[in-house]
Amino acid sequence: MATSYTYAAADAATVSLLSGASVTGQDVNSLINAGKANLAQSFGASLENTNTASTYGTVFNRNNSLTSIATDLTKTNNNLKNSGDDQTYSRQAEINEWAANNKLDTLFFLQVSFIFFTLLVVLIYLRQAGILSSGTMYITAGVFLLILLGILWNRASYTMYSRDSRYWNRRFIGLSDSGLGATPATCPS
Amino acid sequence: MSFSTDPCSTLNKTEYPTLWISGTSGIANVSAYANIASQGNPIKFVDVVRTLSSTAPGILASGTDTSSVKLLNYLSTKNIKDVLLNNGNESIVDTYIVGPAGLSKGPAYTYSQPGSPLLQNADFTSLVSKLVSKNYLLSSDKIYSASSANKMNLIYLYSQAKPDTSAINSLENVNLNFYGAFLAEYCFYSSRYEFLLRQYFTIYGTATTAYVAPRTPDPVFALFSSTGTGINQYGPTNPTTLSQSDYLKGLAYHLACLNTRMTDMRLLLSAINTYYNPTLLEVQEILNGTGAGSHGNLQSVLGGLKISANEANNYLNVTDFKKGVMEYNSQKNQYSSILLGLYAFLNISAIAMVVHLSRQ
Repeated sequence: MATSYTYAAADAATVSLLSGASVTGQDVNSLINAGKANLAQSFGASLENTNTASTYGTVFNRNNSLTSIATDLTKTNNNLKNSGDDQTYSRQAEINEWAANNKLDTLFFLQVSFIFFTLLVVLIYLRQAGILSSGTMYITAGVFLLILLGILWNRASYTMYSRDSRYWNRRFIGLSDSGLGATPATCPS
Repeated sequence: MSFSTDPCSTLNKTEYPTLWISGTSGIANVSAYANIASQGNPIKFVDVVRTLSSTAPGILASGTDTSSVKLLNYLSTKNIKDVLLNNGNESIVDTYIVGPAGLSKGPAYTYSQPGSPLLQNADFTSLVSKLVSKNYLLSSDKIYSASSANKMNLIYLYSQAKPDTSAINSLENVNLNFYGAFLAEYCFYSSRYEFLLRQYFTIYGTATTAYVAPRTPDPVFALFSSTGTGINQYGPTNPTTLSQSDYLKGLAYHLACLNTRMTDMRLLLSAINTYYNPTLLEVQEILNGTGAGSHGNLQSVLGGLKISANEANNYLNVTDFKKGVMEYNSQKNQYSSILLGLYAFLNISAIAMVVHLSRQ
């Protein structure tokens, strides 16, 4: 029945159907559905291929946006690192530490002076009770006063001349201490 | 997302019964023959489109889900003539394969035979070039251009910080429009093919004794040019009736013509893919490289961000610790001040006691 040009009209499945004993409506439907699926596949694939350009474009846009955001965040992080806040806190902590220790040093002297005055009261009481003579009291009080003044001189002079101005517990060491003191240049004779 | 079922099922067949004829089988539908062929020649797509009203309804069938496929979403607001090539005055087959504006195949463009297709690979390449030159398809440099002077391409437009959506849409719509036109024309042929195929099997399955030969002017005679022995002619012995074998011959001829058009249109899709692939591959390589906008560049920047974030986090931890030390020392300072005040008071009291005892 079929002539040569009919084969261009039908795929292998159609030809197979035509050579069969009988053809049902279901057979024809499956043939037509296969053709529809064929179109869906090739049309869908081509359409997607064309849309790929838009997809790539969207990816470029997303990459650029993320890159821009990441770059800004990196700058923010670097600015934070270079803000110097930690140095400010460190220095303020050093100042507070120095001031607190200086007060404690003063407190030490006040405690010693309080002990001195308390001993002085005891000595005066003993003199008035006749247990100590005035001379003994004055000599004893003078010794205590000398010790008190010695402590005052020791603490004050150490803080003024030897204590590091930045770290309380560090003794100031000048260049001459380490043997690195500047020496006058000597011109060759 | 792509089409998962028959793309032609999305078209408005109810409103356009002459464009996309019903696939219902049965001899009762022989009136459809008038919409398939005229005097033995296939009816042209552009001729049917010309009969449509300029205020014709939408191209998509009502109730079509347009949310998942970009093309359907685009077509949902379009009048059918807005979608077709040159508002329906041109078509892929009639104008660009058969017509002089295209491959000029002329009336010889009937059907391909195994091993000798009417269109060769070079024809499809030429066809794509013609469609691109007519701006029915985006040229590859409108997809991507390495030239910095060409800023009117999709990749460049998309890669901007604030993409020009109007320009992007106008470019994207070119191809969407073409695929809409393609679908309309392909379904024009496929709906006819499906109808004729059902007719073919119906006639083929009819016993010779049960066969009732159509008599002129039955619409089925539209499949034939005249009586004769040609491929689209029927038996000259009895010019008023159509034998079963001639009936099948006529159906097979038109099936062949329609299938050739459908096959060539699908091959055109492959040719379009081939045309775009080098450009898309180039874009893909750029995307996978290390330049601006690439995955590599993004990963590099994100790597830098991760390092800086770790460093910043460490810095914040150290800073928090130092701040805590500062606050602790501040409290220690405050406590020392209180003790100083206390001992100052005690000393004054002791001095007062010394003075008091000294006066007694």
